[in-house]
Amino acid sequence: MESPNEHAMLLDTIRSTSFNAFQCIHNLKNYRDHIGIQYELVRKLRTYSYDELEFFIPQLVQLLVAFETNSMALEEFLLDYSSRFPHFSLIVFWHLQAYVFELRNDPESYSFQTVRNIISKLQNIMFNAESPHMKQSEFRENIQPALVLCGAIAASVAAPRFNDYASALVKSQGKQQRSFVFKLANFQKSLTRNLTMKNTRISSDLNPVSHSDDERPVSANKSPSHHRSASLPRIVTKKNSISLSSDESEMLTDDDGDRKISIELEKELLKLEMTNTKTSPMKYSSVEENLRINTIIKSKKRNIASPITEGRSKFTSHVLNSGEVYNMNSHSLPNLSTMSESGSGPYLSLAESESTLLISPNSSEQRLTESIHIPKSSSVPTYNQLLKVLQVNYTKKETQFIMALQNISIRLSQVPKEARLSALRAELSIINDTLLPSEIDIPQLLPFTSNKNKKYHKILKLSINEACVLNSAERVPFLLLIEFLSDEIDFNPFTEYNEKIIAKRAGGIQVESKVGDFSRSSANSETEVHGSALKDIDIPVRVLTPDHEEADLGDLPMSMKRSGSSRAGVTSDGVKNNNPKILSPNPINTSEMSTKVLADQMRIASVMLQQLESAGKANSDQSLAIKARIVESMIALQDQFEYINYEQFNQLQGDVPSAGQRKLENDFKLAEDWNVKKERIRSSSAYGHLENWDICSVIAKNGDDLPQEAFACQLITMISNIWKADGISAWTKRMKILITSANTGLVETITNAMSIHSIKKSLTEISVKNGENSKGRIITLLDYYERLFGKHDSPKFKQAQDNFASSLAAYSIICYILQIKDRHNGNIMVDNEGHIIHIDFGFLLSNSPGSVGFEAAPFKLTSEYVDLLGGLDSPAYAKFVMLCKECFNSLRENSDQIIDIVELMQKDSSLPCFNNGDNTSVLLKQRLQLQLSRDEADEYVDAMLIGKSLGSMYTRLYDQFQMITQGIYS
Amino acid sequence: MGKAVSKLSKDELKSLRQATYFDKRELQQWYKGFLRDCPSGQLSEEEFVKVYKQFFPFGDPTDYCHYLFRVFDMDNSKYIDFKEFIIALSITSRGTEEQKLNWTFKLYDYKKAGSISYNDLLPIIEAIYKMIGPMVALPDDEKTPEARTEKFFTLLGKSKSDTINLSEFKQLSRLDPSILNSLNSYEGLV
Repeated sequence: MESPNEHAMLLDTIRSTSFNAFQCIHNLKNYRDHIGIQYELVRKLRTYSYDELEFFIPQLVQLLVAFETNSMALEEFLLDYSSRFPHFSLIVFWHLQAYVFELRNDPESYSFQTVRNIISKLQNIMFNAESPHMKQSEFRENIQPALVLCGAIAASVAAPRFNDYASALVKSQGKQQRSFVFKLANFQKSLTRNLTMKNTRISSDLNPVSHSDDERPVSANKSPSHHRSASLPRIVTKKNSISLSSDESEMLTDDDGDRKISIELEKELLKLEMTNTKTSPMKYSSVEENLRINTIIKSKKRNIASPITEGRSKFTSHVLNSGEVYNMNSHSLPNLSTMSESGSGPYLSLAESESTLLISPNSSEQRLTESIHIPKSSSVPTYNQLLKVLQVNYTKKETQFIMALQNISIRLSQVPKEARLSALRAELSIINDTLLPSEIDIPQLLPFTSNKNKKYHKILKLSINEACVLNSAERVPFLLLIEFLSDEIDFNPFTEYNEKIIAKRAGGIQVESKVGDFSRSSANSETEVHGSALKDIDIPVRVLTPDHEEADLGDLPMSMKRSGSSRAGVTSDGVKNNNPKILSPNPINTSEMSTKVLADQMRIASVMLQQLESAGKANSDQSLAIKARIVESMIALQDQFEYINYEQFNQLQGDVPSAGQRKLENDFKLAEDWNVKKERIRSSSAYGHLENWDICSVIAKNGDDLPQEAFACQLITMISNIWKADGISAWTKRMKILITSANTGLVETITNAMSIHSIKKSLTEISVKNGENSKGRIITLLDYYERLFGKHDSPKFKQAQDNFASSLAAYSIICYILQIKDRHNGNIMVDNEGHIIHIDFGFLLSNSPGSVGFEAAPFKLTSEYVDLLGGLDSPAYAKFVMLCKECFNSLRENSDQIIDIVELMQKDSSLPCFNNGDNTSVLLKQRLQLQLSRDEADEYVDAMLIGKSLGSMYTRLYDQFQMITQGIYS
Repeated sequence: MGKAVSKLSKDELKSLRQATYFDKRELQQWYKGFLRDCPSGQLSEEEFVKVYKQFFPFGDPTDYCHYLFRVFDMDNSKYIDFKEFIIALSITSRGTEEQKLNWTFKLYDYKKAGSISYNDLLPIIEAIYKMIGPMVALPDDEKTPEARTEKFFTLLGKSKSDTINLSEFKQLSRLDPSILNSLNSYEGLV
């Protein structure tokens, strides 16, 4: 038993001003079994600045998910901040989504249940404007807070202020949902059953479709629909228990839940059946019939359902009224499950989970789009209600936008490389048409800047002609320039601008947005295309078959196939038949076409390319010929977007003195280049005249290592904060990565820097071309610095050299401590002030590329670096060495922070950088050499770090250092 | 120790419905909750203290729990069973002010004399202060248990040598609005 004294001291520590945010998080982890301490720590947490807390969201979420606790404090804190700060809610939401993916194989775990539970609550906060705090006063059958409640009442007379402290704890702990523990057995059974079913289906799937985005349709050719219906009731009951366990948390077995879930499942199965319509179109109508009936049943039962589902019930009836039952079907698929489960439920198969996750927020978007309006019950909405409407408006549009961006790169990966740029531009112009400008920004990357008025930026449009595809990886990252107005929007319900938004929302679907406008403006399905363009890839199909409105299933592969059967046919012949129609407006005429039409054509073309692929005849001569034609027309179209801008672009380019070397050198003056670029875009932009107009550049990236990269950036920022606090003049670039799911994200671009690789390559090429370098000598960094900053004794050069030393020292120590590997010149950049910047953190802490010991040196210190510093005896080199020592010692003195954060994040993590498991932090600690004295540590930097790193270049020098080394550390 | 039966019997339900403000479903829910935290169906004082330590880590709730446990443990069995628990919860969360005060009086009247003296009251208040520790900022005239106890008697116009009976005890909540406030702080929650 712990003595009270120990905790009394802890209280003093917590309340002291030197107790920082990360220590607070670390203590939350260590004292997670102590409810009272958790509350005190969370109370302290609230005293830190918002920015600091936002920075630590990954840790807060990891703490919540990976560390079991009975305390509700942290959960409450996250939900509270989420409801107050839209950015906070989005970042938490996206991180949780990443966890769903990571935990997909372990749905019965505490972590998975926690994630599901929080996502559900969060979605309610983010997308539901009607009932912000509906479960506030709930007290569940939790004995502990109940016992304390009794004691608090008993103490009321003697010490009335007792409840000042006790009631918050009691109320919060009373809300805890714990009953899923009881459901475990049931839950597992149902899971097994579902997985078995899935496996059966997958194994019967002889011809897997090649599309990886959207839900992968399982073409269960051999299972007729009645067979599935027969198997339904079984699953139905099991499923019920899962849903109740988290949402109702009660042992209810009322039929209501049963039916709710049954429909959900049925729909899912029906959806699968849709794929069959390729082979048997007749079934389609009967399926549709079925669906309609089911939907009606559902809306009736909904009346008794829990509060969460009420919003949806309204929506459902709306759907019925408007007679769009079928049209909505695609979106109501996830809708039918509880909010938390839109696609992320435990019944996901491995293959599906990832793609479903990508879809899920969108689907919730879609359904909430319709249901957001000011509660009608209260005639005069309160300030908070109005605020809520604005916040929901923001989160809804924001998720829509981000989702649209990340879906692009998935779709691009299915388009042949040469057509990707035009497909990208088409996609972006659709975003411009349908979603922008809008009262959104990008959390973390484009956050509010002025702390005075707390305003947010507003994104105007994507600069289409500046966008480019970055490389030909399987998943296609792309660079994006975003025009925005800085400090433009806020959530004050009483500004004129925001009142309009609220009014729109109040009108509900009628004045929804551009999207809504489109679909109302004309009833034919062609315009509807633009409405949902960003969510559904099946648009082109609808363009092809305007009479086929039912085709809207939000499921690309499916709808494509159906269109194939109904019109074009999946065979290459069918495609060919359609070709003239699609590509008929030849590129010469395109100048007269709107970007919109153009974009549609692009989409059609790229979908057709995919169809060719999926038809399995991609390699036949005929297909190849068609493919070549499509790609050709796509490329012809690629510069047609933003047509006027394009001309202006040419004009502006003409103004730039473009003769030979000077222009080429200009390219390397990157800051200037960025400003030129900015001015060029500004002058051609319709918004350019606005005073607070600005642009920013981001990379939309896909890949499993994004969460790890984000963590690396976070660690580097933490380390630079430590140095800054210690007054060390080491320089690092604070990079930010916004995680939007387990494998998508937006990465900040470094606008005024170039990789050493590119610098060398282009400079060498230029010098050869100009006849200055007949031997083809590779240009060195020193050459580059002299070219850029002037002679080596000029003040400008000296400054750049100094910058180089202070950034090199910082990154050297960082690379050693964090074991950042894969340090080739493509991953190291130089900015326009001479700083080096390390990027791309695919390998750190435990993992490294290739064989062991490939990069055995502690960090990269080439002879070229030393030359640039002025040699081993130069002042700049001495400064570098001194800074390395200061940096290393500063980290040793603040080692707890770095070790603790790695320890926190490595638990149960599947990120490759934690391959060493619990050892990851142990090895990190060893690298910090905490047993050494200050002098010994300096020697260590000299001999073991710099010496060894240099040594891998200069063998002879290395031997000398080796002697020193052995003399001291044998 | 054998696991208690997982559901309340019809008879138990019937008597508990009469003794509490809870309906059949709620009683079953709370019973399940009780067994989850206390599988034997009987909560010892030691376990009781553990719960309080969870909530009051910066103080020492042991003494207060000792007094409070006896209020719960009506049959003096040294254990709190479900019935005792749910009755206490019913009174404190859904009971009338009168019922709460009647129940609370038992805490102070641990000698079962029907009235409480300064010396009876002081150790209870000391125990409460010990439990809260530094967590609540107190007004000057309540800084120490002694001051608070004295205020008790002063409010009623009594001296430290007097005693307080149940009806005088009940008057206190009218004399000090913060008491009433505190008594009702969980109104409508459970």
